[in-house]
Amino acid sequence: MIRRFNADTQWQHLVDASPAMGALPRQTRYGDAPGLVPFGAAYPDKLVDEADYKEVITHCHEHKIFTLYHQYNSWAPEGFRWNQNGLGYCWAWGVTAAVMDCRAREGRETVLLAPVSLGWLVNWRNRGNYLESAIRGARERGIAPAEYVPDPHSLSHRSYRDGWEEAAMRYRLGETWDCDPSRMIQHAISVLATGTPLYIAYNWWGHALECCGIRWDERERYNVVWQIRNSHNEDDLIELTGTRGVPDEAYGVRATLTV
Amino acid sequence: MRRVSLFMTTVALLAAAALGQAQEVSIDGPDTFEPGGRPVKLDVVGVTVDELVAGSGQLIHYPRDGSEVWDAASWSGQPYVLFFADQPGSYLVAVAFCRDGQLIYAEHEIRSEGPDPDPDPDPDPDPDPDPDPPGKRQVMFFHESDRLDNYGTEQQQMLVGLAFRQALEAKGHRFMGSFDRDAVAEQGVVRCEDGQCRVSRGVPPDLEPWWQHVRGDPLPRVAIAPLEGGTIRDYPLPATIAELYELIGGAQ
Repeated sequence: MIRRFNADTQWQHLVDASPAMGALPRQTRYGDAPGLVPFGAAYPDKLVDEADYKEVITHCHEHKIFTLYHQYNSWAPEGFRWNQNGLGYCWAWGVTAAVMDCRAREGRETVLLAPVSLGWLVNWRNRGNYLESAIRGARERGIAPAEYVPDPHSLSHRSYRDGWEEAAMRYRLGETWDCDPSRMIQHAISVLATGTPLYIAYNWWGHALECCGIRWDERERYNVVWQIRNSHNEDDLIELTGTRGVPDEAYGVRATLTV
Repeated sequence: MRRVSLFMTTVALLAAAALGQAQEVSIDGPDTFEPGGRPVKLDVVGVTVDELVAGSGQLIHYPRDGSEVWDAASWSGQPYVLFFADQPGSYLVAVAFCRDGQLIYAEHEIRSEGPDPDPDPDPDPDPDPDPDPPGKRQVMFFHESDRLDNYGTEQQQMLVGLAFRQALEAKGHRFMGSFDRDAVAEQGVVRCEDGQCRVSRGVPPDLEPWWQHVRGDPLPRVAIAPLEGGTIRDYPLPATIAELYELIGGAQ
């Protein structure tokens, strides 16, 4: 069941309900992030005009362009639970969801990946991390398939099946778009409208997640509802509204690599 | 310019691994060249020839068609690169090597004076032979993901929309994938082990036969083959879904 939260009035509830988050605030400036968005344009050069938000969002739902449809159709069917289980690894769960969504959009085989295999980025400790770091790590070494990680929350990589590092190289993040925090709604809609999942973070929550769609609702602030795959064992997407529903960071994962 | 950007994706690992190190080594020289003119000398600063040799140094340039690079050194052992190109456009010259187990990477972009030429202006050098008989088809798409926002509305639906794929499959055809160029093009992957680095290249084996038909052609593109296997034919991605279905039928 999709649960909706007004992030302006319920933010404390969200923070209290899930204290172990782990997303550290962005260290790079937008447009000045070497290694983060090193290739191609930083963001779509054809931004959706504000006057067209409603029409574009409606179109993307009608034609199942938002990646939430690919997600439901592949690695996260109805009732699927995505759970970081108290680890401070939201940064890993978020980027993994985005990579799996991008793979689904590409039409690749559905392979559930193990976010915890990115633990090398924090020396296998239960620690928070920067989204930039998670992006670089997923690009450099990839994410191991879940079948190589018997305990999906184990920070002991010695318990992983032999060959997990090689296997992870076949599930690498390829290319990203960055989103300008000063124009976040426009950038986010423009990225989502290309069927590209967003790896996002909220500073007020200290939390990283994956945004896989957006809804138009004129009763809500900015008329938008953010459709998000959270990693707190929900059995469906969550929806956030309000000013705090607008991500502080967002990166579009627009291609994956397998070699 | 876009081709250079795309190539840069293929060296993503190089750049990622070299973060914090790239400032130590640089390629210095002119930013422009004259097509067909004198070679341009680019100095590789911050490293010696001996270090490059010991560190399995790699000299990379892109696009390769119509351009050439020569590695060279001064009498004092200072490495440099000579760059030539007959064709106007933007080119990337990069150097990668291993130093103390760390990957070091530096790059330099050089462009012809004046505007960039149109990308890939050449016509398809392999015109398709006679069409196949009617039947169901496998359909694979190739695009440039940083241009997804620039493609037409129905092209976007074909490339990323789930509703289109479901409709296609409901007609008995098989959607085989929609891939960014760099997900299939030759990718330079650098791996360092025991202080030695090597560059491996390759196209994912499952995509190789498809990519062989599409490589070098302007994107976005669709490749079509009989469901039971057979000749792959590729075409520019039509503007509309109706035209695509005509093409699938036309491939009949």
